[in-house]
Amino acid sequence: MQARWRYTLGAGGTAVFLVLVLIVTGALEMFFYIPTPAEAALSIQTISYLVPFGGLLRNLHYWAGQLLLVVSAVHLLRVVFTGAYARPRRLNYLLGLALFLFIILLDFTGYILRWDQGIQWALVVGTNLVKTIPGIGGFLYQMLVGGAQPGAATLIRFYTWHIFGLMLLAALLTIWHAFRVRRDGGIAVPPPKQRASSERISRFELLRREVIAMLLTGAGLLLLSTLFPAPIAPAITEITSLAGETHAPWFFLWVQQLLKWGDPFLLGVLVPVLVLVLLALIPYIFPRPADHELGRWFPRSNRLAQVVLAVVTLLVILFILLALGPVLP
Amino acid sequence: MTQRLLLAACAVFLVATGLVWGLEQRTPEPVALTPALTGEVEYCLTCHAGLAECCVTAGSGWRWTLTWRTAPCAVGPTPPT
Repeated sequence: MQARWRYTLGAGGTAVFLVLVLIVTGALEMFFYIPTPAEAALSIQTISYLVPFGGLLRNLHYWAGQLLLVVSAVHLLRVVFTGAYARPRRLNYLLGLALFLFIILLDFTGYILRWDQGIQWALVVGTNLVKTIPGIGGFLYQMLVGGAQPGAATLIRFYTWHIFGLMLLAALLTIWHAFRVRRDGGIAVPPPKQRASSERISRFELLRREVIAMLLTGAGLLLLSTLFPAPIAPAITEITSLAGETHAPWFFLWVQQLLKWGDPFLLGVLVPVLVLVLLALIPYIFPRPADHELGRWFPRSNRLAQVVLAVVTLLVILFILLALGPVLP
Repeated sequence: MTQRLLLAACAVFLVATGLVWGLEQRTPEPVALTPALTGEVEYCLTCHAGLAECCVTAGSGWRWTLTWRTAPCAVGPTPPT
């Protein structure tokens, strides 16, 4: 009975649904989006205001992207807080973590595709951060930006990464991740002899529950998309200036806050990479949760991993709030 | 129990879809104008129907937008006639 919502939170199924929404809405947006610096922002305005249901389409794509990031983060927290990452699920934990990283990159590349004054700060500061990496920074910057400064080559590269490179890799990882869930014996539960209940739900029942989650998520997504339009701003006039909004997308606000406190490479590159490495090492450096404690929240035997992740999560949230400080009324 | 929940979820989804459809239908038909001053098409007259010629240079709004919420315009609200 571990397929209960209060155990899984339905995060995995909801994430798959949001990915499907993103693929459909993104594919439809491609009919109108023009990936050139002169036309990108205007084509987004065309989608938003002149294409029938275009505004709804764009808002659905935007909100599905934001929700996917939140749902994936909740999924990651759930897996660690229930000790579901341990052997034989260590590989799948890493696959899920890689997927989470890809979702962040997909959100960031999608954000840049707006190519309006709202994204200018993140584009200039984000790409310049790559330059600070000792030894290979200049080369990586050239690879990413395609020139001495962001321009037409940058936009087409971000576009290709967004709709093809990252999408393809994320799709392959999603299939592998789902396959491993089955291969590893489904949701983490105690061995048969240690289970409190041997009751299992049928596939049809599971499907029903997934459909309920999808319908409710779909309803929420529709209302969010109608009531809160996706951000939009005037087209960029001068790429090197930092006109318009001077903040990162919300999921990178914690990095923006760190950048205020010191060395860009140390705080803007190394710290985020170390956080990622720490998350990746959780199944390898912390004690394995006891078998009889699997399938429930906050098992005592993996408390240390829970505390570490909770501290990292709270710090990230705190830094986001600090960065939002000057923006909030 | 799950079947009732499924029906309730269907109802919630249908209500949300209906609401969104209704709100989308309220989007006005675009009224295009190309002022001689700018030479670029703009849709200010969709809302500012009472003004003879409105352009973003004067109104500082967004020439593509069709709703009050998305057009931060200095001319201010002019209900459609």
